[in-house]
Amino acid sequence: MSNRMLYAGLAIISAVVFMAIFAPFIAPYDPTKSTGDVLQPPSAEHIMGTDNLGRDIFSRVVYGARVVLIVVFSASLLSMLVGVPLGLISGYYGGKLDRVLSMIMDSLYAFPSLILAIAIAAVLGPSVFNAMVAIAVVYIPTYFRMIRGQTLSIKTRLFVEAAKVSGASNARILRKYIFPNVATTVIVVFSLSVADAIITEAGLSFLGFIVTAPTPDWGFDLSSGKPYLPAGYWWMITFPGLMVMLLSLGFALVGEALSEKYLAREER
Amino acid sequence: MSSLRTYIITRALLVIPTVLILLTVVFFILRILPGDPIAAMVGQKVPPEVLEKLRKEAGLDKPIVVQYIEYLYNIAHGDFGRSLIWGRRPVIEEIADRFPATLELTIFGFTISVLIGIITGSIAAFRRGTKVDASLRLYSVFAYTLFIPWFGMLLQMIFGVYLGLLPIGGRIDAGLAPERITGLYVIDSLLTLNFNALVSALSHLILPSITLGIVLSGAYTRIVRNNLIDVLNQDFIMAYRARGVRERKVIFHAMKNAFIPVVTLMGLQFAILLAGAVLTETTFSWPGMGTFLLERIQYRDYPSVQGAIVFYALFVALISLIVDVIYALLDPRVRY
Repeated sequence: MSNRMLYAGLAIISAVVFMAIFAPFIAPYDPTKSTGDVLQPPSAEHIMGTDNLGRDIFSRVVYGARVVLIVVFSASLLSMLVGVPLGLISGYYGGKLDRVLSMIMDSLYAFPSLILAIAIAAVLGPSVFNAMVAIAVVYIPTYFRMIRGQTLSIKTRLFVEAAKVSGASNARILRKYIFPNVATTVIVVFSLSVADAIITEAGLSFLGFIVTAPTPDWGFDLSSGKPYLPAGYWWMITFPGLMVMLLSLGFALVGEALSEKYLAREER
Repeated sequence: MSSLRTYIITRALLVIPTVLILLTVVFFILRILPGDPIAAMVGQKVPPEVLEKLRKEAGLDKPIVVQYIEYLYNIAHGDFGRSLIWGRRPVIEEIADRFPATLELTIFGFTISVLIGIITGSIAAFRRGTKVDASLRLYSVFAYTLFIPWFGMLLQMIFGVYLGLLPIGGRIDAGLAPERITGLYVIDSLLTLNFNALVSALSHLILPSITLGIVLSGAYTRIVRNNLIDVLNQDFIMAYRARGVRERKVIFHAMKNAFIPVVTLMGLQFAILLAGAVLTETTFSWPGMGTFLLERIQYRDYPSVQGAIVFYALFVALISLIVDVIYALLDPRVRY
């Protein structure tokens, strides 16, 4: 089960990444230009139909993979780069610093992530870069909490004691003895938080905080399809939303499979 | 019992630092991040005198420490400032108007998610290892990755547009809103025996709360399944069975014990519930806190935006306190 989940997830992710990279070769039309036929249902010419401005939806879906991948990957890397070291330091040194950091991170973690991202994006103004910052801030506590917890349990293990006795510096212990033991957790948390961040990105984009017309992005395209729904134009919303789910599912499957393989049950 | 009381008091006191941190984070985000919030929100088109006046009114011309203290002081006194638009009402009144809609939606969404979670989770646990179990596990992952606006619109398309069975937006049909007692339409219409309003309110609630409920149910399915499997493997269950206790009773005891971690999950899921409600409200034109926040961001109404976010922070802290107290009541091991 867990292997099949892993491969299915990886297949989905690679397909979407491939699509994003080779978008100009895959998309049959310019995603930002009208083809002349507005609101056409899916057909041989336009396999996902056309939108209210006559743009080919399949081409927009293909190009739409770019913004979400860039935002989500860079945001997740940023939260990892901040959250992991803080978690290591907080868990290893303990004391007052740990208590303060944990309290801040726990409070942030308890706050609804999308609302926090909306607040940050609203203050910074809508742009791809600002959305990236907003999403990065939101997922720092996820890394922090996980890595701090693991560091707490690893630092009591014998090999860490041995390194201390033999005179290794704290920095060396953190780098050589503790970090390698939390590295797998970092990967698992990365794939699970990316799965979540994709939904957050789509949400922000849907609410108009990331791109402006005519840039294609799945969440944003979904919101442009909303006014046409009561008239029954189902294809404008169906395909972009399906892609959000598919990509998020890809990372969720990989994350689930990895956590089943590498994390002890109580850490999941 | 006294240790339970100590626990509850200590936990209630812990709300203070949590709220302080959340309020500080909100303050930090809204004031200290690069850029002037008023300029960012009001835009470039406003003459500098007006900008200066608004800035002064919001207290943004004072030193940052003074601003921070004033901000905390005002919140502690329930003063969220006045909105910049539409009659300049106090923000707290605007929130009081919108919050019941969100509360009603989240209560229904939450109930649906827990019910689906318990039912599917127990089925998966009792049929562990079968195809049913495997497909319910997939369901839990799928549900989690559903994108609320998309799923909500698909339901609108099917049940609203094609079948014409249910309304696709709003909270109640025009002119039917019941007399305000609690602000929750379902309860108010029951209290005033206004059945037209009740039917209308419920029919408007079905699609949004099912959307929210299904998306959040995945996590419950999984935790109920895993806990129930653990409990079913414990000695006391075997002892019950060995003594010939009826299977129905065994299941009852197993469920009771498997339910405690579900309460913890309810606390953790609460933030996701509120975030999900923002998207659900937008999708279903639901006049709650989420649409309030977004609408005021669009109108660049800074005091309302800050008020809404502060309110969310207070609400989150209150709910996590309630969840912890319920948990302590259920599990005698949780004490200080």
